[in-house]
Formats: sequence, structure tokens, C-alpha cells
Amino acid sequence: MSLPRGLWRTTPVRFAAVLTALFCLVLGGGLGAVYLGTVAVVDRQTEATLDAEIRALSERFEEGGLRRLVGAIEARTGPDARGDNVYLLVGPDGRRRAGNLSAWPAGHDDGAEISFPVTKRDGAESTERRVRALTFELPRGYRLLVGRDSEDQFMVRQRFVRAAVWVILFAIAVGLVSGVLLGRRVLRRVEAAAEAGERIAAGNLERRVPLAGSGDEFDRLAGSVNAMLDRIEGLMSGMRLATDAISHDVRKPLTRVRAELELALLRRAEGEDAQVVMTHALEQIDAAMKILANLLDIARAETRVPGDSWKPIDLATIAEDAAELYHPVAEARGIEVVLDTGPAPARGEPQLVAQAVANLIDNALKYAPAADGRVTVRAHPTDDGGACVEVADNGPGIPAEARATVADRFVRLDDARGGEGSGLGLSLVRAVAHLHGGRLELLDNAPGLRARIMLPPV
Amino acid sequence: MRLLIVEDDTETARYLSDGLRESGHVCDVCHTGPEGLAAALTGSHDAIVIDRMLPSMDGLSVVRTLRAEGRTTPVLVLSALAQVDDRVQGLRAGGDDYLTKPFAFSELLARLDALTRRGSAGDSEATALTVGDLVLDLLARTATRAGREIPLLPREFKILEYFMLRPGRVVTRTMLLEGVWDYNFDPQTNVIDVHISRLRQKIDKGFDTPLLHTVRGAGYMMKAPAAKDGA
Repeated sequence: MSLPRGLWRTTPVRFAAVLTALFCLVLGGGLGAVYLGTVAVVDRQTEATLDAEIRALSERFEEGGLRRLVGAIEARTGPDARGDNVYLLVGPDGRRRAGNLSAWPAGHDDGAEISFPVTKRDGAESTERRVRALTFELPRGYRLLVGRDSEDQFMVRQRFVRAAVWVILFAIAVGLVSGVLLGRRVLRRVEAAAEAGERIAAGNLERRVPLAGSGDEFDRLAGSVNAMLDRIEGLMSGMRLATDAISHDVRKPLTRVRAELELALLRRAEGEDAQVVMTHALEQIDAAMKILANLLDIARAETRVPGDSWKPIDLATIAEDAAELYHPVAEARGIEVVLDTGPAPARGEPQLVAQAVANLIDNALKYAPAADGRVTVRAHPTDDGGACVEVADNGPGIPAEARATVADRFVRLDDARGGEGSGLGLSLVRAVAHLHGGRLELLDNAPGLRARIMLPPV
Repeated sequence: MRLLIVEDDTETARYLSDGLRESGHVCDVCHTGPEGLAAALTGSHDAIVIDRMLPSMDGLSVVRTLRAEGRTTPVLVLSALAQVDDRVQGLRAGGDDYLTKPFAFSELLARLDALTRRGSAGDSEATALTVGDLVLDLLARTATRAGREIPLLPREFKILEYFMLRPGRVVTRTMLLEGVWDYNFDPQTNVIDVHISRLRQKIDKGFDTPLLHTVRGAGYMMKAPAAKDGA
């Protein structure tokens, strides 16, 4: 094919070519097998019959000479003879000595197997029929021809070939048409995805790759691309949120510090007065720095890769240590801390995991009611061979619809949970869980929150 | 104390040297790695404060070279990187302590103080620590004040031990978290203050003179009444 290179590179054309070639290959193979199993078998049988016949006749010649042979041929061609066989015996001069064929077929002087037309008279009708024959050279220049009417076989073969040609032509047509159609369909979907991609690249992040709803590979591809886009959009909106939150949470104390320092300068604050202003300024700046440090911790946990500081850890030990760290806080608030831990081996960065667990306990203690408060810290292996640490409180909990977003940065459920804290605690926990290939699960403790870090098997 | 500051940012270097001089120390300031290394090898400093990121030769290489030369001068590494790995690297290179920017100046002072006095106390041999009339028996793991035994939880014993190994010196909250709990992070809630107030209940309540003091803006200090304070 001498298609222009550009056209050849398009999916539909290539698809059609491949499909057509495949169709032809399969059909050609199938037809060939049928041919070999039918027409070719009959041909071989004919040949074998002729061969046997010629052998029998030549034996007669050897046994009883020309006379016997002529007799045998006449017996086979006489009026009572059955079959459509054709016989001819010619002398060295080429004249007919016996047989039902008028003359040796022209142009077939030698050669073992020949094929020629014969005109057959049946009363007034005469039909031309095709004969297949074998020839045999007898001693003293005599030649023998034994043939068989193979017109029917010939017709069958001709029809077969004609049918095969039609089938192949049809296959080519179907292959080309369906190939182009299918290819265009594929191309259309790829183009739709490419177009969506271009739109998204241009900044339209809400765009998604359309799904055909058939659940095929293209849908799966589109689905995973869309999932990726969801994540990117989530990250982007998270970042936007974080930017807003930073400008609020960090700017608020900084603005206050600035104003206080400015006022102190204006009134030329001295001594005790200046001390108060400066101490307060330090506190405000520390608060702002703490938020920044938390954000950095989260960003690092989110972008880190497993490092060489990872080692085998036991979530039970980590949970017990963290619970112990918070024990006086719990006691001061009148909250009972219940420990239920068993060895829960995992692998990870001990400091980060400890920080995550500490954040969970910190949260639980913040939200458990001061009277009758109860925080349960559990650590145990999971069914899949991983490890899990869980902190449950009996506070107000998190409404089901808010659980998906509560771990995002700066999300504070002000109404439900009192609005204390930086709104970064759970973000860090989730980032640490993800870093370790695990996840953070937030469940209903009825009442309260049950937060669980699931780590994968070592 | 004579201190060497190796810090490329002139603003930070000035702030560090001013602050340290204000606190009664003598400071040499270098701005590049090679300069700092030369100064550290020729001078006799009580401690070195070195920034991790320096032009032409980074801080950790300086520390490594210094250690290879057999110098044991205590080194405090300053860094803007706070990842656990970086901290581990910093300590592995031969740094004695690691402080992440931004830090409170009081934190730096307290840590430098701890570093320079680390070897001098000779406390590794001691089986009992004494501050005023408070005695901590490291073998029996008991605490007695004025002859009266004070029941302590294991963690409280550790906190007290940490303080009594550093009498008269400021101990910051992060130093306690690192030294007693082995935590390199700051918990959301200020749990250390609660631990200290409980410990204070046990060792100071009912006695005339308090031993555990709050140092405003910095942390805590264990100190015997003035007359007996040798530091």
C-alpha cells in the first residue's frame, strides 16, 4: 500500500489494515483447510483409482500380451460396462487399438497425469466433459491411457474457488469498513480525552474526561485520569484553603504584634510596660511560628519518601508512651484514659508515628467531656498482617458528612467540637499514615470519635 | 565562654553574636565553611554554633573534618531543615546538638549551656544527685527531701534526674521532650508544663524553699537556695 505517511499514522487506517489482514488470514486458513479436507481428498482418491486401474491393465499386458489387454479394455468399455472410465490403447503408429476414446488427446504425448476435455454423446445431446487421466508407456511403443470423468470434481473445485474469492473479498470489505469505523470510535474517545486534557491544562480544572459507561479499558483509563484530576483539584483547593487559613491564622497574631509594638513605640514604653509588650509579642510570634512549623511538618510528611530513619516499631509501645505523656493532662481534666494494647509491629519513622499518635490523644482529650470523660487507646495487629492504633473518645464526635474533610488542613468543626486547636492535628496524622502506606480512619464511637491509624504489613 | 559562630547570613550572625555577648560570652564570627574550619582548628573555643547550609563548604563537612582532626569541641548545628533524617545526619556527622530555625534565643542559650557543661559535671560516676536538701538515689531509684521520702512515678524520676544533672541551668521544654521522652516534636498541648506542675507538687509542696523554678520565656531550672548554690 502506498498510503501517504500521515494517513497511515492515523489510528482508523492502521486499525482497518490490521483487522483486514487478520480476517484474510483466518478465512484463508479456514478455506484452505476445507479445501484440503474435501476437494483435494477426492482428487487423490481419483488418482489412486486410476493408478490401480493402469497397473491392473499393464499386468494383463505382461501376462497375455496385446490380445489380453485389448480384451480387458473391451470388456471395460463394452455396452454392459459400468462406470465413466475412459480407456485408450494406441500402437507405436499412434492408431487406436482399443478403448472408448477416439484419439490420443492433442498436446499430451507424454507425462504421467493429464487432463483434457472430451465430447460425450448421449443420443442427440452432446456434452463436453473434463477427464483426468494417467498414461503409461507399454513395451514396443504401445501407450495406454486410463482416465475418469472429473467434470463434477472440476465444477466443485471451480465453485469452491469462486466462493472462496467472494468470501475473501467480503472479508476485506468488512475488515476495512469495520476497522475504519472502530478506529474512528476509538479515535473519537481518545480525542475526547485529549480535548479534556487540553482544557484542563489551560486551567479549567473542573473538566473531566467523558465516560462512555461501557466499563471498558477506555472507561477505566478515563476513570483513573478523572481520579487523578480529583486529587489534583483536592490538592489545589486544599492549598487555596491553606493559603486562606495561613493568611488568617498567621497574619492575625502578626498584625496584633505589629500594632502592639507600634503603639509601644509611640508611647515610648519603658520598664514594666515595655516588658509586658515584648513578652506578649513573643507569645504571639511563637503561636504563629507553631502554626508554620505544623504546616511544614505536614508538607514534609506528605512529600517525603520512606527514608533511612525508618525502623521496626511497635505501635503498642508508641501508644503507651504517648498516653503516658498525656496522662497528667487527662488527670487534670478528670478524664479516664484506658489502655488496651498488645504488640503491634510495623515499620516506620518512630518520631512521626509518635507525633501522629500524640495528636490523636491530644484531640481526644480536648473533646472528651470533662465530667465522665473517657479516652480509650488501643493498639493491635490487624487481620491483614498490618498494625493499627486507635484512639476513641466519648465527646461530641464528628458528623458523618464532615469526616471526609476534617483531616484537611485548617478544617475546624467549630460548632461540633469547640473550635480549639490549629486545625492541623488530623492533617498531620493523615499525612503520616499515608507516608507509611497506611490510612487514617475516622469512625463513630457512638458517642464520640474513634480515630484509627492503619499501617500495612511489614 | 568563648564561642565560634559560623553563619553565612549576616543578619542572623549579628543577632546571634549580639545575643550571646549580651549573655556574657565572647564570640568569633565566620561567614563561610573554610573560614569557620580554620578558626575552629586554630582557636580554642568552648563551643561552636554552625549553620548547616554554608557557601563553599557545608556545615556538616566542617564538623566532620573537625572531628577527623580529633577536635572534641562541642558543636551545635543550626538548620532550617527539620526532617528527622536531617537531624540524624547532623548528629551522625559529629554534631552534639541540633536546633531547627526558627528557634527561641533562650533555647539556644540553654542548649549551649548544657553542651559546654556536659563533660564537667563528672556525673556519670555518681550514684546519688543532690540539690539543696533533695537527694536522688540513682541505684535505689528513690527521692528524699529533708529526709522524707517522696514517692515518684518512673517518668517523674527521669524528669527529676534530668534536672538534677543540670542544677542551676535552664532546661527548656523541648530539651525535656528530647531528653526524657526522646521526642523530637512539640505536642499540640503544652504537656510538659502539666508534668512539671505535678512534679512540683511532690518535691516543693510543704517545703519552705522551692527547688524547681520557672524561667520566664525559657523553661525551668532546678536550683538550691542561694546560699548553697555553687554554680
